[in-house]
Amino acid sequence: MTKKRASKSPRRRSKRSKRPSLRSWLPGFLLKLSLVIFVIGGIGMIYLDAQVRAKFEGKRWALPAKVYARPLELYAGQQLTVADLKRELQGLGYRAVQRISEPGTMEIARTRMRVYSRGFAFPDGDEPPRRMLISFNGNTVASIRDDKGRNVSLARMEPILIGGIYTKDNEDRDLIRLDQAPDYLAQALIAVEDRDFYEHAGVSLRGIARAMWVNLRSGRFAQGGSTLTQQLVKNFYLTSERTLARKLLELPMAVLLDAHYSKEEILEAYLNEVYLGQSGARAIHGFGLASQYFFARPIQELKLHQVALLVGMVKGPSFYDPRRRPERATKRRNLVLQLLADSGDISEAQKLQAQKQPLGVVKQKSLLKGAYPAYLDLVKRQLRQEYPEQALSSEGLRVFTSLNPIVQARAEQALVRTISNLQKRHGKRVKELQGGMVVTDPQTAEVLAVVGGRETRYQGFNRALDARRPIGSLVKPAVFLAALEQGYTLSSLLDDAPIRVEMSNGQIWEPRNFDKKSHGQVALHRALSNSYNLSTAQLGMEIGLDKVVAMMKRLGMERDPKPYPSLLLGAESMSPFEVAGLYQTIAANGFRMPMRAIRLVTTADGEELSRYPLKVKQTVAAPVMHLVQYAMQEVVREGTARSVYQRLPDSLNVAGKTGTSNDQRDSWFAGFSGNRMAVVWIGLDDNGKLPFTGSGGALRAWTDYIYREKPEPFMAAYPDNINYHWIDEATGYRSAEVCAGARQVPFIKGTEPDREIDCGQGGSFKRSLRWFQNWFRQD
Amino acid sequence: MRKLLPVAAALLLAGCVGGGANQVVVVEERTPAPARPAAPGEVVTAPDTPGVTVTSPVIDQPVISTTPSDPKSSGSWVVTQNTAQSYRTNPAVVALLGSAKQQMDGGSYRAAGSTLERAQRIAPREPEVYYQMARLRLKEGEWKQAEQLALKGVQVASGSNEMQRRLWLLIGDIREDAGDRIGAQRARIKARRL
Repeated sequence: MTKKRASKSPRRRSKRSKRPSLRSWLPGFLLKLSLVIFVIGGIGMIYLDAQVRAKFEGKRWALPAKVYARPLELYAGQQLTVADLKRELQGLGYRAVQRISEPGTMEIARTRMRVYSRGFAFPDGDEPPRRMLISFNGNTVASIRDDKGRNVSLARMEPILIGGIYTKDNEDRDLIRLDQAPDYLAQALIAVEDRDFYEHAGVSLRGIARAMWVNLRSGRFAQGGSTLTQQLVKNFYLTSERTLARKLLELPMAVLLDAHYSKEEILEAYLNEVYLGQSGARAIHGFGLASQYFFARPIQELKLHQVALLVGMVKGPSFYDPRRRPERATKRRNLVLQLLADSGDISEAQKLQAQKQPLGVVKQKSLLKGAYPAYLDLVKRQLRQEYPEQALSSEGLRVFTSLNPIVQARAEQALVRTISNLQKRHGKRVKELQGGMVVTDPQTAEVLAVVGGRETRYQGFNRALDARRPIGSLVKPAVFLAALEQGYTLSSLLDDAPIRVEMSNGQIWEPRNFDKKSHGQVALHRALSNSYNLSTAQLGMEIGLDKVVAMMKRLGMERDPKPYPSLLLGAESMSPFEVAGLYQTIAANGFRMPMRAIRLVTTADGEELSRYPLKVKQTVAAPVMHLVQYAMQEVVREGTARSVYQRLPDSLNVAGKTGTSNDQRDSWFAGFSGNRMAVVWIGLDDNGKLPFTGSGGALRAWTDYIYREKPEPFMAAYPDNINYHWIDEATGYRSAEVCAGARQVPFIKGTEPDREIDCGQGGSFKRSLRWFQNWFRQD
Repeated sequence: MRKLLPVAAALLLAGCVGGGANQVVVVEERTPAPARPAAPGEVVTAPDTPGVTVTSPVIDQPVISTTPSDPKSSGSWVVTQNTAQSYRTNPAVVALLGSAKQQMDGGSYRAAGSTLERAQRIAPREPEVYYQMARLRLKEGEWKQAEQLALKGVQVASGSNEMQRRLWLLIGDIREDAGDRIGAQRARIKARRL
């Protein structure tokens, strides 16, 4: 206080005489100024120190959630080809070698593969790394043996990382510990970036001097003057702005950092912080992620030349981008190798050997991270219902999904190829043709694949989830299920006659058949397999719209469909994903199971946060479902989808339904085999008319997918109270095998027709209906 | 039919692998639908399957197609003969069911749940998987799910009276636990009839 008062008095005096007062004022001022600077500086240092420590010790990085595909289970008897396994392992970055010697390698022969797996810490237990000899027999795994020749009953490969959930600035990284760093990584970094790293106190004058000297001597900018610690400070604390003030903070912060933490801690932080590239909007940070991004394998497996390349890139990730600038990158890498040899970290022979290596960078397209935007979209939507965005993008959560990359690849190929074939055939009108597809396993209700459009890697409009289109005849199984529950049978005769319904708003609904004809009296199963609109509309109006609406909801529709008569012919708009929910229940014999894309979410350490177990609820009785499954088999054997068996073998039982919306704007097919259920939509985003129907478009993609997938055939359960009878199709009466026009049709006990026709039992031809004979199981 | 005999013999040998000790299960056979026209009112019965009777594991029996298999059409589609496999004899499923039981008995219900789902993905038509899933849910006190899983098991056990009986008995226990005594009795009566 006294000082303050004293400082005021000279000023008062100065008004009277200026000169002497200045002389007496100046020293005092300087003293005070330096004191203030000292205090402010001290406070500043304390503040900086607190900041340095808080950031370094607290949460250092926003770690995006990691999303994994399903791990491939390997067991004898499994349906898997050498090509499938090779593809999966390539997705995991396994190297094909002459002789497996370390984790992440494989030997490929024609019918056998040797694999040295990496192992993985699954939430339900560790899978150890192991050597396996896998023998194939055609499409199946014949045996798996370990390196001692013993049978391995079950092995789980590590899951492919398919994506992450990033913060707004799109930073992505894979944290590594210093002890996970491959040989020479630390040495190379130190040799190239900061030779006095272990000696200096965060800032190195010698380093700056030497860098200048090296640069002068070599005639180019080979070394930078700032230490690793300074670089870390710059990236770590001062990222957003690059003002002079911030630049000035770098030195004291580096010193503080060095004072507080060990060299190892600083180096580890550096390894994870450094920026090494850009993948679209995603910024590649840290050596762990860079290793995956450039070499598609974990950092532990990198070789000397690869380590040298990454270290070389620190200086200018885009300038030395090995994908776009391979020559520049090679030169830089070789310089790093030279520096390593100069410092004695590697021998001359090692240097020469490494310099001879190709860059070995994988094509960006071969990386599976980011390859499944449509599936990831589904996963994210589900996660966002349960987790705050911040937790998803920064807590490093691990998300285990059901995505099957092998199935996904086949579905993509089938849809993309079909669309391009349709474009070739129909020309300009379908230039913008698009599609969406969902594949599930009907037994587990897991979503195996999602295709959001023609450009499968493009993260845009996700048609599988968001293209809500009128489903057309895909609704018919729901109408028929409701009718069968009301006592109709497959052989009930329906009137396929014109129908006119006046709606409450005065509008008239007057549907027509696709061929614009009436077909008279038709058997119910025939009405479904030939997809007759008039008889379906008659039937639906007879049983009541409420029954149909209720059936759709029982099958799994989560919204309330609009109860207009046009609902009966599929006026309701649904996405392929929603349709999959309905058909999933049909394929699972009436057991409704919510479709699941996520199996488990854990913390970064593997602690379980949420799981999504199988949930089942029988919503439609098995016998009724059996009847509609019969009719849906007829669709593909004799009805609107019979073209399926031009490509599929007779023995592969499938069932499904075609769909075409009004004015032919949407082409649909939904169908299933024993272990796959797939829904395909093909159409135009602007809702334009198509020059083909459901069977001309979506069915082709579906068939192509099933052809590639070679799934298990659909085999219906044979419920207790179902009996098969020979029925005369024209009358719906009982008939006999030998009679013309007779076919075997299943009935729920007690609903079989009473009346019988007599065809004379002589010489009439028998209708061949082999298709369903190997369909159901009977004991 | 001749093709079936060696398969059946192999299955008889493998019959004791996996599952509880007293699991007597039946081979299911998908034969063609009844070849005779049924007289009105007559209940169509399954054709006899000599040589394949009661004591072998549940299996998706290879389809014996009524026509000679055409190698051109079947080709690489190993659907008529080879993909049909016994899951119960599949060591992977046996191993998973074994560790699930251990995990369940040791009280690690979450791990048991994960293990059973792995088994289900490999062998979705194996009733034992649903039996164990239902048992797990029962232990967790989730009676509704337990019952539904057991019902799903009953459906996939179609053809195996013994397995269906076990499942109905389990449903009886589940309903009993949930306080539904009448429902429990009904389930037990069903089990007795099998």
